[in-house]
Amino acid sequence: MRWPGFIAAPIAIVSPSALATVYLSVEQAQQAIFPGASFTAAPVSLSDEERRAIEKRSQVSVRSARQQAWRVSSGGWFFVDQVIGKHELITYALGVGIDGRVRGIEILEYRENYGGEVRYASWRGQFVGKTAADPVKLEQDIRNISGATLSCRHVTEGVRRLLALHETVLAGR
Amino acid sequence: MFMKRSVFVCALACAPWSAHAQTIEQKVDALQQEVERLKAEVARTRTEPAESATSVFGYGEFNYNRFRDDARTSRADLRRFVLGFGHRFDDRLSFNSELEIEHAIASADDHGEIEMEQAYLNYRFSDAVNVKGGLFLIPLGILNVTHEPPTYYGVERNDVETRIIPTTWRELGFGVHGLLAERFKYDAGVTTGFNAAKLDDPSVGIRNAHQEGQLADAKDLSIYGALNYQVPGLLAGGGVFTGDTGQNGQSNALLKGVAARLTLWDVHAKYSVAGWDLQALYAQGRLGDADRVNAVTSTAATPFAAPRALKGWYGQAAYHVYRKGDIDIAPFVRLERFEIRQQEDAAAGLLQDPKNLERVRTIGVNVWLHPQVVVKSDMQRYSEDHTRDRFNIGLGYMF
Repeated sequence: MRWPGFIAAPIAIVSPSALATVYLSVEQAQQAIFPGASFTAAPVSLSDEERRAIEKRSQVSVRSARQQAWRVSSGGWFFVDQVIGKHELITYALGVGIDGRVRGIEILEYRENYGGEVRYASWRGQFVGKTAADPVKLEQDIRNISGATLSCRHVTEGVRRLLALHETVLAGR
Repeated sequence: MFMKRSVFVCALACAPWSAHAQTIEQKVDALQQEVERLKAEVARTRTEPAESATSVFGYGEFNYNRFRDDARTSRADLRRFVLGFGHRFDDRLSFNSELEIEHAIASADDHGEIEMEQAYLNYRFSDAVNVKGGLFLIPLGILNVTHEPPTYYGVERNDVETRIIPTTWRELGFGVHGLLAERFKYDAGVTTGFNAAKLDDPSVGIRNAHQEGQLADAKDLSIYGALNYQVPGLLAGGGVFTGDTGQNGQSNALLKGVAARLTLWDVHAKYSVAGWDLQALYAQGRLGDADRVNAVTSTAATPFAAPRALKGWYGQAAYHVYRKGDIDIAPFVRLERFEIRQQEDAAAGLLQDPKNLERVRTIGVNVWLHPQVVVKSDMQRYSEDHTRDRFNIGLGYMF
């Protein structure tokens, strides 16, 4: 069946995954965190044992056995991950240096009307230098932004999970 | 899925040429890079949780109030059960709503209510400029905008943000809101306002004159504006709301020609540092033509239902004494003062009710079992009206 253009066109505009506001592409986030580096995709597949180890270390549940990751030419790892804000997904990127310290975090896609304060550089900057040995907990070593609590909390948990993944699974690779 | 597949096909088809490869080796290199990129893309689609444009959320609280004085009835109540529904039509246009059931059962014979707390459409031009229309919360104070039980201290909402700022306060209208310069949040608009004809209980200030989006008298509209400064750990700001409440006598013909302008404003701050949560708020309001409204709405039981002026403040301090995993325990104290100034008629023996010039002390503890689930307990002491003294236990959640 062929649909007339005036019906098909609006449907195409609202087709899946067009629903988020995209702030940065993966490539832009890579250059923002590791300027000048090149990146090799190295998605990580986690065994059940590794997932449990990450959960134990981070106290955050690992919902997926696969993690998007890139090796950085200058050393270190770059991750793209998703967490739920209040009730919508937030896509963010995390860069971890060869020393296991956070190099930077960027918000790639955000979908909610409120809570967008997680994009503030002053908030994201708190993660720089953190390692898996730090608490990385909201209202402890990461300060909250009032009115954006759930988004702040869930991004913080995501970072803690990725740092645990980096330490328990990738650090030796 | 369709889009992702088309990206895949296009990438395979276009990649070698877009790289302007000169030799077969270069072509193979470009192709290899593209395969790496696609591997990552495939991994990403596998790790992404299923995404829905419609979301359901909610919050609620179960409260127990045990009064010291038998003149008041000690009660347990499913105070609120709220379900929220949101929908994204596209990346700019969305809908948000909260449907609330108060006191568990709503029928002609019961005390419960079913009400819409919010229902509005939001169009996002950018982070800095959003336009909303419908029934939405007025951004005065701290509690009115963020009122889920796990987000505040104490079983009951504080008195100042109940009697002076009538939380949960929403109006029908249009607003513009957004984030500026990575530290400011603003919200301003035009909405329905209060209806002076509905004033009937001075102890709750102007609360009962709010119209809650129900066939609201809208001859007189109101305007509001709020600005907050936000950096990690600190929120500081204020808001103002003003508009006439006479409504051209639509509900009570005797109010025709009475403006009865109501202006309410507040300043507030919230600061978290080294395990402490500190919070303070000051709110003030004035109702013009209060005497003319009273002349019309007075009854034998409540001769002066319209307050002339309102003000109140509170200071609150909490300290997180224990945090492990999701468990978080924080005792708190709060000191409040509210003043609802009434019209007086000394000759008739009608004087200011001292119970409306009250000081409240609250001491208690919040125990979070999870960041979104809280058990609360506190004691409250009222300086003027001791029959309000009580012990409270509450359970609250949000998701």
